[in-house]
Amino acid sequence: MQHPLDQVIAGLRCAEVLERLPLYLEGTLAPASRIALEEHVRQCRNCAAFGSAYREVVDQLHTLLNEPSAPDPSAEARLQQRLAGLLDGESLT
Amino acid sequence: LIARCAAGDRDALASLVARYHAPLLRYLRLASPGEEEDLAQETFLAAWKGAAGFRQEASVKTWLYTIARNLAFHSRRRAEQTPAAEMPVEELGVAAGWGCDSPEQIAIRAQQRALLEFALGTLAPADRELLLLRDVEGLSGEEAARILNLALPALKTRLHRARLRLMAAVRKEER
Repeated sequence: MQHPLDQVIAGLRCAEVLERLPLYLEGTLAPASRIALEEHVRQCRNCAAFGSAYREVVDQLHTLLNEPSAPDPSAEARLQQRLAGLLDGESLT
Repeated sequence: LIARCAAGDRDALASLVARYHAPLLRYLRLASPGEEEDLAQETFLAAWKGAAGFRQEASVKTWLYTIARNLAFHSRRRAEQTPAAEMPVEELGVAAGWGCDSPEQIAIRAQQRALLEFALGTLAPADRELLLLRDVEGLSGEEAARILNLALPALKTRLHRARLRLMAAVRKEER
């Protein structure tokens, strides 16, 4: 039985679209490949829906987990103190 | 700053900590939960001791992430480092939600920070560190490849697979 991603639309297999998705999103796909991929996606609901979800999840990783540096002053102070203690200890030995 | 550290200037070390502590702690908290403060300390200590050997081929940020990543990597148990057998990308795509009724639901679930963090925590450390450096911290492909000692094409392939496994983990939580 054929794998669902083996379906060919606009001359491209869904599996090839999946493979090239990251290059497409970072804008490094060669122009001819980009046009072929966009044509496939226009006609393929599965690849279109999955491509948007993929992009969204990647965006969320940065948006949600890369909080604007909200430094924890107490953690930094602890670290500065520990480092100073360690270096003092080393200079005595 | 690094040159001053190499010359033994403690104020330079304090400035280095002030500048890079917050992003490194965030990275280490996700890379090695529970060990982040100790690993941050070890990172700055290693930077202090190795400052004389710093070559300006990489930025200070890339250099510090390399040290932090190596310390986090070595602190993990070897058993965790064994990668699972590689699945074909088609299978990873299906597990990630390609062809399911509503892939948009996966994107909606991923808007919940706690769920996204949880899903990230279920991944193998090798997948997690790729996603942390490239997608969370926003380092360039070249910087991440240098830190992980990978060729750029290999990094891109592994990153794609890690993202698909993350989507599969988010989807699993959805069900």
